[in-house]
Amino acid sequence: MLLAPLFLLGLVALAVPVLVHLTQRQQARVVAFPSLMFVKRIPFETTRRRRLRDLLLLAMRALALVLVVVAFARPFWPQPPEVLAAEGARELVLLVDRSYSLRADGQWARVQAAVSAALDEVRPGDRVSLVSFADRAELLVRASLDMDEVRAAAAALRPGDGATAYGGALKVAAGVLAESPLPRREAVLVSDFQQIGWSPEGLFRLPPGAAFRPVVIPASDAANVAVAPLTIERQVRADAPERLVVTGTARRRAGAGAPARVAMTLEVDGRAVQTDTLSFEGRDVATVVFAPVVRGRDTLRVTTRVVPDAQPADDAFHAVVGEAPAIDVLVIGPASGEAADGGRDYLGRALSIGDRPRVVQAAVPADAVTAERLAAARVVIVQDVVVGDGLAALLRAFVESGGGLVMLAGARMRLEGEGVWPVTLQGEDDHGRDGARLVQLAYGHPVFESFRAPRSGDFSTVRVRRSRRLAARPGDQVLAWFSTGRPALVEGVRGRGRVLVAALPVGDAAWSDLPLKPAFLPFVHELMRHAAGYRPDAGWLTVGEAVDTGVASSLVVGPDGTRQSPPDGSTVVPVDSAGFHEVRGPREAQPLRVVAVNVNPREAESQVIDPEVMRLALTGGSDGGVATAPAAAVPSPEAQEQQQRWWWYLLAAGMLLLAVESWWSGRLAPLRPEGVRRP
Amino acid sequence: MAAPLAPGARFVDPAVLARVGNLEFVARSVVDGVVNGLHRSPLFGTSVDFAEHRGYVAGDDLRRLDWKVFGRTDKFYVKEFEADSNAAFTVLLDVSASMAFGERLSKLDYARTLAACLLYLVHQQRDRVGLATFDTEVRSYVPAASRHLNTILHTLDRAVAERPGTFEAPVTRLAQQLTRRGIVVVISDLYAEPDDIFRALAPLRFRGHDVLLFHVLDRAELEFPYESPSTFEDLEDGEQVAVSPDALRAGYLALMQGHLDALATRARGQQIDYLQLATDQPLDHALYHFLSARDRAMRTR
Repeated sequence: MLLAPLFLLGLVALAVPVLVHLTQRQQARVVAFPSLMFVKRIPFETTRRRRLRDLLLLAMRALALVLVVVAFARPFWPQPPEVLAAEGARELVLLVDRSYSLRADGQWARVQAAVSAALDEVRPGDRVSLVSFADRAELLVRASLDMDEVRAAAAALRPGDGATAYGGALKVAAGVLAESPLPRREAVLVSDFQQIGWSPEGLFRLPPGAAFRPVVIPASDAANVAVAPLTIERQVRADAPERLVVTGTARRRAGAGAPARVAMTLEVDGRAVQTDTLSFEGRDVATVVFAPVVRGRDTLRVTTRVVPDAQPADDAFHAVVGEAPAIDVLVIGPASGEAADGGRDYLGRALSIGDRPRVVQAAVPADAVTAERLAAARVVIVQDVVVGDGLAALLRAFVESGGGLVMLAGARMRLEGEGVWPVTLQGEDDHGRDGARLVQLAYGHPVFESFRAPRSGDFSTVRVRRSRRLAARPGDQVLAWFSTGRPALVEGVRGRGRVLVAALPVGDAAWSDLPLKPAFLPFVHELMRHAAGYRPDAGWLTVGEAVDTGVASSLVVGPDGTRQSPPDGSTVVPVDSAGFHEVRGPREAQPLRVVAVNVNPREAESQVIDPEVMRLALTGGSDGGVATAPAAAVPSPEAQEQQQRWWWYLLAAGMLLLAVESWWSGRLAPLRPEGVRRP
Repeated sequence: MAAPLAPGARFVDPAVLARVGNLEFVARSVVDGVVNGLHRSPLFGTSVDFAEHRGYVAGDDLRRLDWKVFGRTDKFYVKEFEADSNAAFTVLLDVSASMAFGERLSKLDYARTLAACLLYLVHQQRDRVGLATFDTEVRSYVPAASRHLNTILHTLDRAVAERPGTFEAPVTRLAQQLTRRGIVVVISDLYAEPDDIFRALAPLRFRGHDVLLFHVLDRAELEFPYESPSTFEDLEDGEQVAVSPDALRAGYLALMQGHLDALATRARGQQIDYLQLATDQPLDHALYHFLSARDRAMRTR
């Protein structure tokens, strides 16, 4: 069959060689010569043979043109689906793991050998896609017939600092295989099959009929010491600079030559300041506590490092230590001249305890609140005051700009203004001698999440004697209820901030015994963290996570000098190498801040997944190792033609024939004397 | 009278001489130049008339002993001859179409100039001169006579090469006409088989003629300098042949050289003076050869 039969009209070009043949015979220049008695004695072919050869030349020209024309018509031989399924071309997706576990001695050479072996199996007509992955997958070559291109891309691959994550790569492979018109489809995964990258959740399957073939790179059995996340204890004194106590941890993987003692060095701002010895002594984990380090006002770059071993990627752990985190809280109390309740001291004292983060409190009377005072705070506590329209407008602007507002409703509180409050305040309930209990706490909410586990804080013993009657607005969330069926704590999100309204002044022991309970202290801290939108900064990121520069047109400079800019309209840049990254502004003057990035320590663990489990999970065991295509996947005529590619061979044969014919007619034909009589 | 000739004129290019047009003038110019420069010029011509006997001295050629006198007198006498002022000198000129070949100077122009020079030279010695032109047959024939020079030169001047030619038939016929011993000079490009050529020349030798064979060729025939593939046309029969000179050159030159060698060998065998001439060679070369050949003939006889 022909894919483009109209090209056969080109066969009329067959008249061309006939004309050429006829005209070429008459174009020779005539030279008068005295006698041809010697010329004719030189052996030459007879006229009869010459004519035969002329016909052969003509036939060669015609055949060459026929080949070229038929090649342009793109012929192919339609084959039955079963033949195509058994013998057709293959869509191969080659997934190459480049996680840092393959940086160990000799591992990457094994990966390259396996990739090369997989490519050696590729036959003409097969299409190959190349996907490299670690924490992220990257489609380097898509459905290419050019093996040189694929091999060049594969040869350029190097292991990175990322950890294994199979999901992204397998999804890319599934996408390529699903779109393929070829009859055989296969995904080949070259990896050391680290357990860390396998997540049964969100499991998906390859397209029906697609095969999955794991190529296992055996994990290195060399001894390895991986540096685990360091911990930093801040020692803050009022009259002295902050001191940092760094604890370094390392995990040892048993293997040949596993060391019992390893030296660990503490580096501050790139300089080794202390070295101590990790002593495993039969365990696989060892720690060392370094002497305190003084931190000035600058940000410190702290690294714990062990001597290099077979796996160099996990021999260091980096962290950035800046100012101790703090939450600025502004407490709005009764206006000047109004009497204050004494109960709030419980709240103030509770907030003054703890440093993760510290809570810095400031107080202001309700009639002295200004937008500037509000802007300096991350959380505002309104302590049983009358909120007029003016204050309500200020608080609304504060909340919508991202602030956290905690309203503690006492006997005096009255709320004016619309839209900002998640509740309407009604009268006051007196729960009598037995009091009301707190029930139906939203343990899934961040405020109560830390109390979810048993013996993590008991609110059931709290007795509430008095409370304000709240009516939650539709759409706002009640986080806790009284046993009377009234809301005790309601949250509403307004703009970028949030408003939490409690039906009682939580620090006032006259209204409840909550301040006297053990759960009070963590509760108010959780309340502040949530209201402030506080996210603890671990001091480092893991490879594969992203840096939010917070500045448009910013730049992230990696430890090796590579520069990355966030895409247009974004301030987020993913980091893919371990070390200290500097975030620079548009003018690249000084770094705006420094971000420490570490490899995922779990990658260093030698737990592997059974490749057969993965194959069964991805294919459902239906492929049986044979990549047969379903009936619906019978390739189109275009695909069959592309697979067979006869046009290429026909074109090459035609061109070769033309070249031979030109050479023959140009070189041999003039050699023969022709017995042509002059007419 | 002969006009004075500038020194070195005999080396003038034959092509230049051919453009002069007056064969007598040309022949006189060339011959005078040659003779003026030759010290032994009187030793030309054949001698057949008895002059006297003289006593034999050591060193005389024994073939010159008069045996009849020895038989009668028992003494050695050597016969001495006088030069025959009426020796016949005939030029047989090939005017077949192949003689028209030549880019600057055709072989026919060269040949008739050469013939004119020879005839003029001989005529100066008061020998009788004759001329015959032939292609496939005898086209013109001027019998040898001492007063025929002008006629001969006129005949030479009118000769054209336009018909196919053969060698054996016309030369054989001419040999039958040349009954009296003399000198026969054949000027041709000799496109015939050596056997045919010398079969035709043999009767001349049998009749006692001294035969000189001038083989006139163009430089292109000797070197085959063609390069681009072309159709070659035979000037005599018009046959066309497609030729790639690069591929044919070696074979052609070998065949040509074999032909020349065969002619030279066969000529020596039949005591015919053979000289191959290229049309770019000065004419005096041929004249020198002619004179020296006569010298050798006189010495060995």
